[in-house]
Amino acid sequence: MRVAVIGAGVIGLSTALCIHEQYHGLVPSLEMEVYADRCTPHTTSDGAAGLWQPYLSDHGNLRETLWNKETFDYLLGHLGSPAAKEMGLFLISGYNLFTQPVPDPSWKNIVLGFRNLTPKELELFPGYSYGWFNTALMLECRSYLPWLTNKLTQRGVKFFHKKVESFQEVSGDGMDVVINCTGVRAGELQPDPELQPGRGQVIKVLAPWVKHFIITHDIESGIYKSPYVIPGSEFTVLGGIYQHGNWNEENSAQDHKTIWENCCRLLPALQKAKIVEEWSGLRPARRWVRLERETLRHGHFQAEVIHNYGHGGFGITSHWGCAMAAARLFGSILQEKKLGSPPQPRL
Amino acid sequence: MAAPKVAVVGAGVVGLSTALCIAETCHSCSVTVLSDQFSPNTTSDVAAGILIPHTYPGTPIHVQKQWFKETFTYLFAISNSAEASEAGIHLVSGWQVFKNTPKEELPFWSDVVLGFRPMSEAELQKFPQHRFGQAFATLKCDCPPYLLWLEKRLKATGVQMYTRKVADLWELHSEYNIVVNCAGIGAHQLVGDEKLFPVRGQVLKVHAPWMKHFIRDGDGLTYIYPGIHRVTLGGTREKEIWSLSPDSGTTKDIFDRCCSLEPSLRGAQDIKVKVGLRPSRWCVRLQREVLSQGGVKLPVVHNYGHGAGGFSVHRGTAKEAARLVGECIAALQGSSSRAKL
Repeated sequence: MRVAVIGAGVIGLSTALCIHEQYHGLVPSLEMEVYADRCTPHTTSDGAAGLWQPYLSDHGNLRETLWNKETFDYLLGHLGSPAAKEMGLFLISGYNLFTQPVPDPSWKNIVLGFRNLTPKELELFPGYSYGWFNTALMLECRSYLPWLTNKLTQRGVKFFHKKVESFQEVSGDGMDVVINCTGVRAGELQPDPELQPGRGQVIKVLAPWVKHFIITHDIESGIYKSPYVIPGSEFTVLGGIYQHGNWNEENSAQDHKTIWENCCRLLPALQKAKIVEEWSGLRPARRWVRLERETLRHGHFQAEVIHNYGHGGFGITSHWGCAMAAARLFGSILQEKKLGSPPQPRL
Repeated sequence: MAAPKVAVVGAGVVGLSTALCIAETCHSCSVTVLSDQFSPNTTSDVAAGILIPHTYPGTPIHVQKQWFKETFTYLFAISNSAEASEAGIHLVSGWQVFKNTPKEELPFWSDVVLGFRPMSEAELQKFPQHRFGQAFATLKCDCPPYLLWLEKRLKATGVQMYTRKVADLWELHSEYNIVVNCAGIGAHQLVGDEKLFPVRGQVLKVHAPWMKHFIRDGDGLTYIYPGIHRVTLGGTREKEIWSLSPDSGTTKDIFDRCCSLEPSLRGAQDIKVKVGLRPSRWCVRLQREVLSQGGVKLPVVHNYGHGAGGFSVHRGTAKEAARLVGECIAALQGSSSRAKL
């Protein structure tokens, strides 16, 4: 059985690992290949700060909330392990700030220690009158993606650095299943008007005195359009840009100014921070994550495709839950091909 | 008295902050700091500088709380300003965990720190050997930055600082009108205070930049305090031990205890070992005294004996010491005007 995974961001690599871990023992002939034109550190995932935090509202999409929870619990379970440092995984606490009271988010019981901010804490953030404090996780992709790549390589998964132009290209070669984790450019393989870039820009600075994430919200403007500060293990990420439909991956001077001024107003001490890097990336925005099977028929050629893309600004947040869902879809394909029974559910 | 000359002995966090308070409140004073050690070689430089008070058995709780509150408020304002990184002041959240439920579930300082509350069951799962915990956010003063920032502020107000070993406070009587004794553990020899004793603390300062939270065992012996560049791992509380040499067995023990609380510390790099002697006393000695020899008087204000709580109360005690200096000046002026009659 041959499986081609297209895409080597957090979604592609984690889906590949999840499927390989669950099925390689059951399917003796399982051969997996990963195709990507961009690998770490040049993927969209690498630019993200790496904070686990879903959007404020799941709009009733319980599936996505469950994927987020599964991801959080999975990562939390790895915190105490020796792999945590190599994975780029650590606990982090911080503040979500609002200019008005808002309902509690869908993830309030997933994170640790969720509570409202006290008046004294709000004094730290003039202009904001309401907020939350909670403990969440950071998963830095510039460590996590190499870690995933190593695990896959150790398992014999092969990597091909090339741009895949069509599904036929990989499946025509005897591939039984194609896993489509192409993120923002999935439309190049199959048009998808629901998939749009949500352009973001960030400034990476040296500000090691910042120990908390601080995410402000402007309910009218929408997600990620209000300043945020997220401290990593080496750099602190300043952001607050979300431009729907903008494909430009070049850094914008205007956006730089917006980010810098807003973040320095939020945290005056940042004025002394040294700027190390600037980066733009395209969040693969979609109303819902596309996580489903599709049988593609094209003349003689038939391929089973599992789509797993469109995670917007919460790819890291949902990745493992999505990988497990994709693995379940893979299991159903196996059943149909009668190559093996699905694995027992793992707790 | 035209321009009272005040000497502050000691350049740790207490000496420097006291000198600054005096300069801020007494504009006619000429303040000089004298110390045999300056940052990075003071006891303060070894400490993590976390604002979690130590309880002094001999000081009324409401006084300790006042000192802590003043210190916290003062540092909170700095942490919120553009100077925060230079001053080395930053906010840090974390947990104090207990193997056994403490007698006092609400310490006197719980409403001064931010967001104090008991830990949830889910949070406690991270600490399987501990049954109870408290979560809150507090401030940390990183040294040397904080001490260097204080020195910079002092220089800006015209305060002079000299490296000088003062063997006896009386030796200063001809050059200064008032002496402020912030000699810390040095007061044991300087003024022969038998009630002052060292509590030796060994710590490790390590590179572990993924550590964003403090973790403290309620027994006060094991703690992890992330600073700007390094994480302080501690520690020991060895009463009446004067040795400043690091002990390698202790290093391993501290490291193991901290890794037991936080396994990811096994990956910590570049471990540096430091030792400091907490200047411990039943209560902080914060009082006036008048030394006299042969009819000559030298007013002294003592401000030492802060033990494990120096950073937590330094500004509060510095302000009180400055107030006492003000009283000394008034007394000197009173007696000098009497002398004119």
